Amino acid sequence: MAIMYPDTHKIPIWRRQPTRLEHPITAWRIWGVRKDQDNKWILSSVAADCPWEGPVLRSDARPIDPKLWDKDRDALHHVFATAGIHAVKTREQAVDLAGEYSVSVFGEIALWGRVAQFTLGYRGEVCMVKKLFVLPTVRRLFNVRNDGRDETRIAERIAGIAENLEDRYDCEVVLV
Amino acid sequence: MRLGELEEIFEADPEGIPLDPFHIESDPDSVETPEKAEPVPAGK
Repeated sequence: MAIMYPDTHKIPIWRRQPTRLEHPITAWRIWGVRKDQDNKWILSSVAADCPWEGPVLRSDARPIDPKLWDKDRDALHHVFATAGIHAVKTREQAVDLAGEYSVSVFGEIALWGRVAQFTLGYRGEVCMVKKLFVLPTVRRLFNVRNDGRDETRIAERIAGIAENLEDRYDCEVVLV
Repeated sequence: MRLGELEEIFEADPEGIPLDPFHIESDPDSVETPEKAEPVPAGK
């Protein structure tokens, strides 16, 4: 039987018309925390040197954008293969990843713009922080002397992290 | 961070998406459909 039309099943997923959604996609992420130049705590990406200045972050390049591939696939292959704000699908995945990357903050986010969905997570064009969770492992930042007499000081500093993150990202911060 | 295999691409725009389900917008990313073949003159 002759094929009258192109078989669209053979077109790569990233070249197909994106499925349009009227709502952002909820996902989860992990971050490290560090201090900025004003001595305030700030989130930072774990796999890139990227401080999160505010609640909304836009990726430099759209994830899996055919235009990148078509423009100069050799030079832009790395961007094509990695662009976007990386996230996972569930809270449980985020907690596991936080342990794997030895970081103490995970959170719920909203992704929009061009969003690539993978079996285990997403790469999104734009991300907004919705809710943050600080794990008990954050104590590692302060418990340098491993001395029980420092408990009050450590608790105050962890509370300081939560306060800074609440102010900067305008969202609820939960100490787990 | 291992994300696995690509499943689908979404365009999620909470503010800019038209609610009209029949609205069709040109998308530069879309795959071009082949042009129709020239009609073959009768008798050839």
